[in-house]
Amino acid sequence: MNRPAPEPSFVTGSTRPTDAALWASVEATLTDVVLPVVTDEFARSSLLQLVSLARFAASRGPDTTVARREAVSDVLSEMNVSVQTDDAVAVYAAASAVLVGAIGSGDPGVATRKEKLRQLLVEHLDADLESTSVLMNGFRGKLPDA
Amino acid sequence: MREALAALLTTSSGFEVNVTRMERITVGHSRAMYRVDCASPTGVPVGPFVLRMEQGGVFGTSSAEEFGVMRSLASAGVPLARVLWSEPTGDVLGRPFFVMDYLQGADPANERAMDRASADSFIRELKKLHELDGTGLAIPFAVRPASPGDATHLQIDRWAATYRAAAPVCIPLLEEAEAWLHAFAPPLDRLAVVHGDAGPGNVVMAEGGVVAFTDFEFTHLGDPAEDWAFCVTMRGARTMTRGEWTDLLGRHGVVLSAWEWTYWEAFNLFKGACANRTCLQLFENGANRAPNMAIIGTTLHQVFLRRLAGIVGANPVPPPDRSAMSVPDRGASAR
Repeated sequence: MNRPAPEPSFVTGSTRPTDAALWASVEATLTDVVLPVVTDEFARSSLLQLVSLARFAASRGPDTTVARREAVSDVLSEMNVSVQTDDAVAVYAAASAVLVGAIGSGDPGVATRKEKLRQLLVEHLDADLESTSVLMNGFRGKLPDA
Repeated sequence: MREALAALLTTSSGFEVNVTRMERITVGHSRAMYRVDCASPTGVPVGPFVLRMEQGGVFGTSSAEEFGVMRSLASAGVPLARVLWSEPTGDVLGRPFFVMDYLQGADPANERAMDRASADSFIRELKKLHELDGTGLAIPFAVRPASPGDATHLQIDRWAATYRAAAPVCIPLLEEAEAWLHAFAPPLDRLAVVHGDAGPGNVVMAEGGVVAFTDFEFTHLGDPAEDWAFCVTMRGARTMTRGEWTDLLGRHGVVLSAWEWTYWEAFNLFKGACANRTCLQLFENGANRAPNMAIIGTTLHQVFLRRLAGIVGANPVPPPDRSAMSVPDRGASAR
């Protein structure tokens, strides 16, 4: 008989249930216990969205905000654009200025220089999309695995 | 809630009414919609009505403006639900709202479903809306271009300001798109009334004909191409193929050049990405805890932004003679 893998809290001896276990409980209870008895159309629609939120909360992984900001700052430095790495407003304002400055500039060099930065920003966006795509089924009134 | 609403309806209508039923309708994200049934003290039914309530600032639009726009358009013969009373302060039910007639119409299982006859009727009626004298009707728009050439730029500014007010740091790909849209805005020689959210799901149909347009919160003065591109590439994309839409539009004399399709698709994606970003702010600051706010503010915003970044990143080039961009180009409009 295959035994289920132990929860991380069991392994570490922690008395706290993990976030993953908590969210899994929320999702399972909403799906298996609450959803079958909810008949009101709006409440049901909201409930399915909430199920997708629970799945997202459990699966989204660590926050990469700081790492991303540093990566953008590094690329800006390579372009000789100096910004305070820990100042998110300044970093993203500088990145915006680079992209905006290349619009209609007519200088191929400007467009080429901005490309690495733009590629990085698109990669970040793609990673966000991969993480949040689980929400789309909830938005369309479906369970996450439908 | 029912008592407060009944008191307002009694004062507004001049007749004493009780609210006998109030039920949330499962449509819309920026406004909560309720079906409201009333009765006189002797039990005579009054209504039903629809109550359309703001949701804490979703998309940055105003129900008071929407109410005024709908009332003006109704007087110009546009098919829509008659608007009755507006409560713009939020003092009565906690959020601003207005009340309008409840319309009986087809209620398809899929709100985006629309057969060809219905689509034909929809296009005809939307074209009539576009042909109204946008400046002569004194419609109470919050944004009023001084000239047709300003209209698109003002809308770009409006949506950029909406996103910036909702986001703690700027979003470079959105800023880039804003600059791109300003740089390549097509010329416009006449201000039209643009619905702003036109297509299947925002029109009540019955027996193959348009009963009413709905959802006027984005309505403004601008270029009709915005509506056509939004319908074909976004709201109506799951209803019919792009080829079927453009064929039908062509029969009504509505033809956009390849460049216009590209530009206005990008414009609508920009607008959607900006508007959707407001939902994340409201979800996080507690103004609106509904789960759809988190969904719209993250994945929907990102989907729009990704498509937009794809268009801008492809470096599409406008035609050399931009004054000729409105020349019909039937062949080029097919993808």
